[in-house]
Amino acid sequence: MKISDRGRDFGALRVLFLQDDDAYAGADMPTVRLAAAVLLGLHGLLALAFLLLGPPLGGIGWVIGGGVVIGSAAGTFWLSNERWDATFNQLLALSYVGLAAPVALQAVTGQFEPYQLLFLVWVGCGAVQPARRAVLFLGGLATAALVPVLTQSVSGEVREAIAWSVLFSAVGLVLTAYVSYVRTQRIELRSGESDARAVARAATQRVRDLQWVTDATLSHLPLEELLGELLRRIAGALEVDGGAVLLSEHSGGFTEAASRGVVETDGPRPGQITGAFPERIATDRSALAVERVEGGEPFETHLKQAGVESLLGVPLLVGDQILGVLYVATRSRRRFTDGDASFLQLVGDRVALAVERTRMFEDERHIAGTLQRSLLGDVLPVIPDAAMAVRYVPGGAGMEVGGDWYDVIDLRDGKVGLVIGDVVGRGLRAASLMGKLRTALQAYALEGHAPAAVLERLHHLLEGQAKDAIATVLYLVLDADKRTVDIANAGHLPPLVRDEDNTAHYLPVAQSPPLAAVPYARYEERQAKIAPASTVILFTDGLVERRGESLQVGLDNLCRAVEAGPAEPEALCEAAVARLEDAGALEDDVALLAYKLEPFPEGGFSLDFPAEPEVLAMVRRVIERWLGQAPASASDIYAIKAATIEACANAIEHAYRPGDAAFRVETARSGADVSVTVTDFGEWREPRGDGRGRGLGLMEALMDSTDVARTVEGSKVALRRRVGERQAL
Amino acid sequence: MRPLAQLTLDEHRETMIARLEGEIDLSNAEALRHQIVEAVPNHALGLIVDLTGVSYLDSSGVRLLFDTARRLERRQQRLATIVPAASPVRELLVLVGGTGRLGLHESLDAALAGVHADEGPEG
Repeated sequence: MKISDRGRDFGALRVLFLQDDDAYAGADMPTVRLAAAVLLGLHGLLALAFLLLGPPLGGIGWVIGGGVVIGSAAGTFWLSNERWDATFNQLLALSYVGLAAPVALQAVTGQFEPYQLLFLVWVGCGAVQPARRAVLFLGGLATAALVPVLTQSVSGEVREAIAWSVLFSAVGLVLTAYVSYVRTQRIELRSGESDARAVARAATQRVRDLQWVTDATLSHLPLEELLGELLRRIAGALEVDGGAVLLSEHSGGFTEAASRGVVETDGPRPGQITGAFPERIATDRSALAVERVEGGEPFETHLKQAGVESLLGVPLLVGDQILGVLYVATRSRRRFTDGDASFLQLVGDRVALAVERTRMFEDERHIAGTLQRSLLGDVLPVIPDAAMAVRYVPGGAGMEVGGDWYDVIDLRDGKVGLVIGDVVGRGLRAASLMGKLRTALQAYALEGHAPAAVLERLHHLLEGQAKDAIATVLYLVLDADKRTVDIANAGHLPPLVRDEDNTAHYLPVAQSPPLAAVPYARYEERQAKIAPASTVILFTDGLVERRGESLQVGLDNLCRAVEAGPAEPEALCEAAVARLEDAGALEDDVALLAYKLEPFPEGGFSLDFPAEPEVLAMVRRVIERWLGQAPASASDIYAIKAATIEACANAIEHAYRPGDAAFRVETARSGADVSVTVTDFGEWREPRGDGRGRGLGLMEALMDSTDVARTVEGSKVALRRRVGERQAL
Repeated sequence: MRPLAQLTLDEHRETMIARLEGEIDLSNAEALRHQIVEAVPNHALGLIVDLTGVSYLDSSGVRLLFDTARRLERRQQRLATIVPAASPVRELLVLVGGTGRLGLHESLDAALAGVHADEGPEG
């Protein structure tokens, strides 16, 4: 409003003294047009009367007189017909011609008076010229007229002419002033209109602010950002210099949740805030305005130091629970109105809801995040002939966790189940559903079902348990001995395989719908061959989906990045996550699993195992599979396996105190000569109990040679047997 | 996880039949022995341990069987085992001298006959 006030003053000045190109813009055209038509009609009648009643004219006089009468009639007719368009300047020109006509008539009849020409000039200047030019012109003419008086060479006739000149100059100035006045009025009218528009705009803005305050989509912002944004809007709408949100503490007092403008806190927020102002609002549960802040309590003193003069605060209420106080502050003294207070209370109610809702959301997000982490934080199985790495990267700021998961299931006998899945949706529900599906899949897989059967069972489970829940899952069973992968897919992205020669390709998957997406889903299996030392990479769509980019482009880019990157699972995952971070804000959660086959070398291997009886089964698998790579009879395999287990069992039973410890199994094979060495790093303890010494005898019976070396550092059992020589154990 | 070994108990003609499947090693032998010995009632003539479904057995398993045999002996009950011919498990049991003491048989009928025979399992 202040701006348009300035505009109005400036507009009037412009009309009077400055060039004004648009002085006639907005003129009331119909009225001007009507006035011009009436004047022109009267003018025509006067000219006709002059012709008929005036002194007799010559031939040329009749022609001009007749022309004036006919021209006036035609002009009147033209102006009174609205179909013909006329501009303001055209009307002025017409009026000017009308004024000129009687003078021309007088000139023809010899009754011309020189001052009549001046009259035309004055009137023309006043009416047609912009004010600045008219004033200069008239001033110049008046000066010129007065020069003879100053030079004192004036006759009676000249005096008379000068007198008329001055008279008409005055008339012209009055006319100019009048026209300027009319123009000023018009400009004021226009400013008034723009003021009204500004007021309407401001009202719309306030409505918009209110709408913004009630905007439910804001709940996705973290609480602090949300409050900051709300305060920014309030400051604009109420024209205050700042504001803050204080949240009540259980222990009494307040903490600052957000602040802006004059009361904004630089650096860390103060701990507990105490003050008469927020406490009174919280106690009375009503708005409070303070016109002049007085120091005293810490809160008020702090505000006074910050230069705050007036305050308006409202309670943040949800039901009858007080969450805190919202207040605004001004540097200059201000008497807040009831309207201000009710507006702020309206905003306060929204803030309270937002605080409450965001708190609930944050709680839920925290729970979901914890759930997600605890579910995925399980220890992955130890697979001796494989290296694996996993990553879970939560989506960008302000998002809840998703239902992405990965899993590795040891199916024994060289088979391992690899899982990647994504429950559609976010938050606690998605995370808990993910946990359910993950466990169920493990159970079905361990029961020994084939991949497609596992997914079908999972489909029925999800369909029966959760309404409107959909999940994509990719489940594959990798057989390290046969070097095959059986893949079943429920609407997920295909697995990527990086071969030893650094080329990568996607494995073929059947195009089946996600779990619970259609009532009767059938899942087909595809089998693919896999080269030794390949790395299988499973991932969720967040890794390859980019806004404005086709999925195929994302998949191709990932394939190239994996080809160019490292092969070791940990490094591979690291590179993939780094690539994501380079791409900017992560829109979706990402789960990633890299599994690299590391076949036991035929010549032998060395593996460390924890000293627990539960690992013996795994040691047997490893020995069996390693020996199976080259010719060996079932008896040979059984003998070497059993002897190794006896040595391992000794290491576990005798060598260690309870606690974390490990033993090492080293194997070597050269043709038919097989040797296994089991080393532990504990103190030897004589066998206890009845029949416990049987292990050594069995080893000696099963093997061609058994050497036991016991030192202070530990024991070493070296076993040797030539395969293919004995018919039995 | 799937248990390494599974035990099913059955009674047939006053004889307990303990059917073992899977693998027996240090991690589960003790628990299995306990379950088997507990399951044999006093009135039973004896126990048949069916090892047909056992794919792996080592000194822990051997200890399980010898232990069980000793306990039954104290109660005047007999032990017989069913072990398929030419299996590594049989070879191992033979190797540790279990042929007589553990009453190795190849079928249930033979094992039942062994438990019901007047003479002891020695032979």
